[in-house]
Order: sequence, then C-alpha cells, then structure tokens
Amino acid sequence: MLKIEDLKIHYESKKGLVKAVDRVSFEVGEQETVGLVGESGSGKSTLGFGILKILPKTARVSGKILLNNDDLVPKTEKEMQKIRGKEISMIFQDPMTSLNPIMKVKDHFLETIKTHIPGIKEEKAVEMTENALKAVGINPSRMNEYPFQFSGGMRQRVMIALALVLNPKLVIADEPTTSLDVIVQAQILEVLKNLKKEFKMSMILITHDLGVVAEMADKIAVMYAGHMVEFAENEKIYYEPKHPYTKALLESIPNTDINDLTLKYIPGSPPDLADPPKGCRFAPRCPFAKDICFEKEPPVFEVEGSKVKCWLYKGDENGDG
Amino acid sequence: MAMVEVRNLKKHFPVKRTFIDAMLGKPQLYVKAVDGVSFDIEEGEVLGLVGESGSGKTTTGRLILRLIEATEGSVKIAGKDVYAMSKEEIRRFRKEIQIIFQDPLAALNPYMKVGDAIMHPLKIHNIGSSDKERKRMVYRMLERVNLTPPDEFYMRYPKELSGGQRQRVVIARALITRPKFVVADEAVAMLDVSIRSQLLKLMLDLKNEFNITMLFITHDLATTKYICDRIAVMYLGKIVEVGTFHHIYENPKHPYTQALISAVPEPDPKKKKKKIIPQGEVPNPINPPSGCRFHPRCYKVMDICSKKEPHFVEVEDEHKVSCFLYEK
Amino acid sequence: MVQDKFMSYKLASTLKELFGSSTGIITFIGLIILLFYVFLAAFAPYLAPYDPTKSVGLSLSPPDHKHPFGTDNLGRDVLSRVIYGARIALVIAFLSVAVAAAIGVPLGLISGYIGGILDRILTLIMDAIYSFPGLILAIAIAALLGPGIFNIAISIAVVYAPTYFRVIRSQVTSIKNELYVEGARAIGAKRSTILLKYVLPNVLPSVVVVLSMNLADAIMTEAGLSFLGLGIAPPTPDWGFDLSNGRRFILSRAWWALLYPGLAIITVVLGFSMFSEGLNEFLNPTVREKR
Repeated sequence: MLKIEDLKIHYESKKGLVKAVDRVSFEVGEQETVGLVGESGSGKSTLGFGILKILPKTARVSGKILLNNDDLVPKTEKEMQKIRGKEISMIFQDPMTSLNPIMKVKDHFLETIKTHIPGIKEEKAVEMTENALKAVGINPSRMNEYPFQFSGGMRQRVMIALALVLNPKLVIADEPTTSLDVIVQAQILEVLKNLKKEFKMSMILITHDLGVVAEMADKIAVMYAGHMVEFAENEKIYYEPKHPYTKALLESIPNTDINDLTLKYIPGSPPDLADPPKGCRFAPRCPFAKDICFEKEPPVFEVEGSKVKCWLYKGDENGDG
Repeated sequence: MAMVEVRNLKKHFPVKRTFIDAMLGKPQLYVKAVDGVSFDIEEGEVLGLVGESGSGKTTTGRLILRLIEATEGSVKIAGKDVYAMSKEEIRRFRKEIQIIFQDPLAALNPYMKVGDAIMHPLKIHNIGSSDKERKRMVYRMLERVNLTPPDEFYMRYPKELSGGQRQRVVIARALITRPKFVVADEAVAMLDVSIRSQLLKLMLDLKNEFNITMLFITHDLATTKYICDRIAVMYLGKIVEVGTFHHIYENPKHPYTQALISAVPEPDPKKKKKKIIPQGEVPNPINPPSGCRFHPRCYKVMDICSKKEPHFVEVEDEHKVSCFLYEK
Repeated sequence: MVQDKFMSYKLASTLKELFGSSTGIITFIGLIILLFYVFLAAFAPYLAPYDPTKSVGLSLSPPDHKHPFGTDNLGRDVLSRVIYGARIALVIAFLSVAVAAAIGVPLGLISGYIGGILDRILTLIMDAIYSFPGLILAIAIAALLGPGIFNIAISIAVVYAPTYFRVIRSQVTSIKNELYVEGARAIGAKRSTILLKYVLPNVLPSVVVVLSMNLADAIMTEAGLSFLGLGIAPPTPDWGFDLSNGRRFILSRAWWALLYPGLAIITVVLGFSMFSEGLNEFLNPTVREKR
C-alpha cells in the first residue's frame, strides 16, 4: 500500500548537510502496522513527517514515497494538503500543542471535515464527529468542551479521533503515548489496537520504546542515525535479531523479569548526523566491527526474511544495494 | 538507626483563589500533594519511590531535602532532624544531602562552565585548601563520571554537551561533596534507552563506591530492579505498598501495584500478560476520594474501601501493603 | 512590552519593515554611525577647525570654504560646534544610562528575587515614575537640580531607571523558578551567591539590550532639555541648545545654524536605534532561544 524506496531527507544547517534520513526503503501493507523504532536523533520522526512532507523549508527530499503507486515526492504543497488527513493522517506526541486551545473540540473536527469534503451538511459532519469520538471512548456530548478541559489521556483520544474521522487508509502515529503515564499508555494502546481492526487501516507507529511495538506491530523497522538497520517481522526482531544494534538495544531495555539483573548497555553515544562515520554508522559502538565496517556503508542484505544493513551478513545472501 | 527516617510527612499546597472568592467566604482549598508518608531508608540502601504523575513522589523528594517546607511531619537524616534546623544550619547540612534532577539542561546554569558548576559546592562548603586543589578534585570527579579528557570538559558550557553528558555533570556536582544521602528524581527518565542504562550503571557504581544512601524516584518500575533494594509505590499522596523488589515484582499485593506492573509494555511479543488496566485517570488531589484513594478505579473494590482508610498490614517479612483485602 | 517606552524601539521596528528582515545590514550601518560619532567626540580638538566657543567669523555667514557649515549669530563656527557637541551628547547619554542601570538593575534583582512587601512598594514607586511622560519628568527634575552635566544625567536617569527595574524584575521572577536556581539552593548556596552567580548572568543580556536602546533616547531627552534651556550652560557647544538658538534666525534665512545640529541629533539617534535593534535580536533570550 505504502512503499518507500531509497528515501533521503537531508537538511541544510549551519554545521553542514544533516543526513537525517539516508537511503531508507520499506513498505507497509494493507491493514498492516509497522513499528518505526529508534532513539532520539535516529531519524524516525523525520521519516514519519517526511512521508506527509511536513518538513522545514531547508529539507531536501529525494527517492520515492509510493502511496498505492502514486509518488508523493514530486507533489506540490496543495496536492499534499488533499492527502493529509484524508488518505494519510497523523497522531502527534503532544496533544496539547497540536490542538488549538481556543477552539472547541467540535470545531477541530468540523474544520478538518469541511476542508476535505466541501459542501458537506453540518448535521452530517457533526454525526461523523460523534462517531469518531465514540470510537475512542469519549462521550460525544463532550465535543463542546475546550482541549484544556480534557485530561492528558483524554486529549490524546481526541487527537486519535481527529485523525480517524475521515477514515484514512494510513495513520502515522508519532510517539502517541510517550508523554503519558504507564496506565494511561496501556489504555491508549488498547484503543489504538481496537480501532485498527475496526477501521481496517494501516499504521506506522513511531516510538523509542521496543515494549510498545511488541504488542502493536506486525513488522518492525529499527532506525539508527538516519539508517534503517533492520526491517523484519515482529517476532523475528525480538527472537532472532540480526543487526548488532538491534541486539544491543533489546538487551539494554529494562524488563520486568526479576531473574535478569545484569545491567547491559551500549557504550558510546550516537554520531553527529552532520558528520556521520564513513562506513556503517553504528561501527564505532559495535562489538563486531570489522575493517570494512569503518570504510564502506553496508548494503541491505536479506537474511532469513529479515532485511539487515550490516556487513556481517555478506556471505549469507546477496545484497540488493 | 536508619539513615533516613520520614514520619507522617505532609504537604498541602494552597490553591490560589480569587479575591472575590475570598470575600464570598469560599473556603481555602488545598492540593494534598503528599498526605502522610512514612518510611525508613537504612544506610547504604536504595529505596525506589514509584508512582505516576500526580502521585506526589517528586514533592516527597523535595520535602525530605527541605527544598520546600513541609506542612506537617518530620524528617531525620543521619540522626539530625531536618525540620528543627535553622536556615543557616540546613544550608551547611546540604553538603551531606544532595539531589539529582530529571532535566539536566534545566538544572545547570547556562552561563556557568561545567567545571565551575562542579566546583561550586566545594567552594560553598569550604572543602579543599585552595582553588588549585579544588580543581584537582573536580578533574578527578570528571574522570570518574567518564567525562574525559577532564580539562576539555571543564571548559565547556552545558549547551555544548549531549543529554547523557549533562546528566553526568549533574551527578558529578551532586557527589563531589561526598554526601551521605542523595535523592535521584527521575534521574534517567529523559535519556534514550541506550544512554539510560549507561547512566544507571554509573549511578550504581558510584553509590557502592561512596556508600551512598539513596531515594530513587521514578515512574518506570522496570528501571528500579537494577538499583533499588526496596520499592515503595505511591498513589495520590500516599504510599500503598512497600517491599523488596522481589515482593513487588513477583507478588504484588495492592491492586494498584498489580495494575502498574501489568501495564509495563514488555519487549516480548509472545509474553501476553494478563493486563489489569484500571479505568480513568488519577483523580484530582484537591478533593481525593474518600477511604482508600484508589477505590473508584479498583477492580477488587469492596464496600468498606470508600468508608474507611486502610492501614498498613505486613503480609510477609518486610512487605507491607495498605489495602482492606489483607486486613483481618 | 516594556521596550515600547523607547522611541528608538519604535523607530528601529519601522526601519526593519523598510529594509525587510536584513537585521545584519541595519546593525552594521548603526555601528558605523555610532563609531563615527564616538570618533568625533574623542578627537574633537584635532578635528574641529575652530574653537567652538569663540567668535571666528561674521555673524550668520552662510556655508563657504572657510566655514563649511556656516557660522551662528555670534560668529561661531557651526561645524566646530557640531563636532564638540558630540562630546556633550555622548557623555551625558552614557552617564545617564549608567546611573539608570545602577539604580534599576540592583533594585530589580532584589525586588524580583525577594518579593513580598518590599517588591510591592518598589514596584509601586517605579510604576508611578514610569507612567509619567519622560520629558516632563526630566524637565521637572532638571529644573530642581539646576544645570550641569551630572545633574542633567541624573534627571535623565530617573526617567529610565524604571525601565531597567521592570525588565530585570520580570525576568528575575521567572528565573527564580528555574531548576538551576533550585539546584543552587540544593548545593547549599547562599542567597547572595545565587543572586550574583545564577540569576544575574541570566538577566545580563536583557540589560545590554535595554542599555543600547536607552542610549538613543537619552540623547533625545538631553537635546530636548537643552532645547528648552534646561541643559548645559552656554557657551558649551550642545546640539539641543544650538537647535533652539538657530531657530530664532530661521526667518533671516540662516538655515545652516538650525539644520546641522538637527541633522547630528537625527543621525546619532538613528545610529543607536539601528545598532540596538541588531543587539536586541542577537541577545534577547525570547528571540534567541527559539529553536
């Protein structure tokens, strides 16, 4: 449904060209959820915003973003506005800043609906709003309230309803639960899981938390310093991680298993994207790094159904990059 | 004698009311952020204080260090009553009690070099005979928290460091006076996963090396198991359960603790846990629910829960819970 | 916004609209003008062709090669008076700004940090002064104190001290809630140390901005005072005084005695305004910390 080929998003900055997303390819199938996982600065959010082309002016995008074989990269801002909200919509991390504080919840919905369906009857639009709010577990009578009258979790539900009101094919959720407490997070994840089934939509779930995607995603893409280092089915990532970064990341997240008490961590810190390492970007922190890792950027190898950007798998399969 | 003794600590913040409300005789309302908290921390022990936002865990940390004044209750650290001290006495005593904040960028003066920031506590408490000696101590500390080469980091400003490096500076500043007791307030919450574990390891090593007693405040149950000896779970200004991490993880008693543990997303797709997710969100602490404060969201609620406040019951050795399910 | 009090701020905003957003150029031109006047003031004895206080030609002779800016009614060289006038203008401007800052900054710091009754009283006094029209207040104080460089500086300083107070106080009230101030308390720092090492450095950029904007206005106010005869005692060369003196002979078509001092005032105020606008953009934390 959504196919991304060789996507590059580079920024001009004072320090030089920042390669925030570099040669990334992956696809999202019908009704499939892809988890986009990475730490801050990995380019996961840039990639998410890049698909909708919500980027600062200094960004340069190249490659292909195919939505049902229709390339979004050459599209103008006006054409993109028709796609945003209708075909692809977005759920943001912080619902407080993405909702206008002086607009009633209802008006947020009506505005979105009217922009995309000009001439729609008021009653019809209100009905759509009611249905969307019901779907996320909010009493529709609350639509005449203002965003600040909602609690953090409820506000995020409003954001989700707003993203779904036009029944988009694809929803991009950027860290939808990061600013919430664990229990509220679990509630929101439950809502998202149910909606996915009910609305038959595809989803890209951007998060730094491998725990969140474990329950939600069908496939997982792991990002590191602008590169997609691994892309595979959910269980393959957790039980047969291929890339050394994926392995290290999995080991370093705290779990609730009380027998596992050794504190593992990845030494060093992520590179500066204005001046990334020449070869593999993870090489300086990688325990398995060989000479070639520091010299040449690895291509993507296909190993047992996983796509891995790492020289360790050179012998196993032929690269496609 | 315990290193830290907290007894019936309370903090009620007055809610601002308008002049007209006051004239109309509307009563002054209070946010009961911390409402009767008691616990001990033994020397060299790390107590984890776990709770969601609004639980009062951060306020508790500040009250213990008397960074804000308590409404009621007492705190003894190393046998000294913190609330009986004069302003000047507590200022001098700060050499022994320190805090590591959540947001290291906000916690550091943007116009002060890293080295000067770490040296400042030494100057304030007159440690070291000369600036030269103090500088040597700062260098040693910078090396200890892995900010090497120290002479380079000494001259940098906080803005020029990464998040992890900044938190190392905050840790160095807190530990340079060799305090006996440290409050770590969400010290690793803002950092990325790969950096978070590095910092946890550093804190654990330093704690053992300097024999520090610590209150480790966090919203993330999973991080507590590496560093905490015991865990206290807080909900709406009260502690609901205390135990070793084995107790809390393997045998959580309070329905809230059970919910908290089951809500942690596991990085393991096959491990489908049975989730107990309470409805709704944490209620307003201005007007907390009667009886047990968790009762409106509790899946095992009984009649008595809304009428009376539960007391602590020792369910097993060192494992106490405040819930009517276990009261006899 | 406190800066609205300054005419120079409004002037600079208008300029910015004219030039677009090219703050760099504006700042640069401002700096050149500023340096030019500082140069004039510093080397006046070497640059001025005549003694500005002595009659060196005919009364009211038009500009020619001997007197490029002409002479005034007493036969004094206008060019020399304009050059020497820069001295008085700049000295009084800097002096008054220094005095205003010396009053406003410490009071603002203390009032903002300590708060309570002291804060209420100081704010009340400062607001009362602030709400007074600047020039009228300056006239009243100048009339009270009498002429003289230092007295003029003080009367101007009183007008502008509340601006420093307000800017500093409002910044301090927000900075004292910053985590690094609590951090300083947590390591056991004394109040005075916190104020000097943690609060002051963080308000200093705004002080510099207010200072630079204030300079232009101080020059205007000084010119206004001496125009009304409340400034420096004659025959000391002073632009404001010369302006009012020249005005009397405008009917005799002696435009030069009026034009050149006037031009000097306009350009120097413009220069300071342009420069301060640039500084403002560069140092103002609200502008700077937007990422």
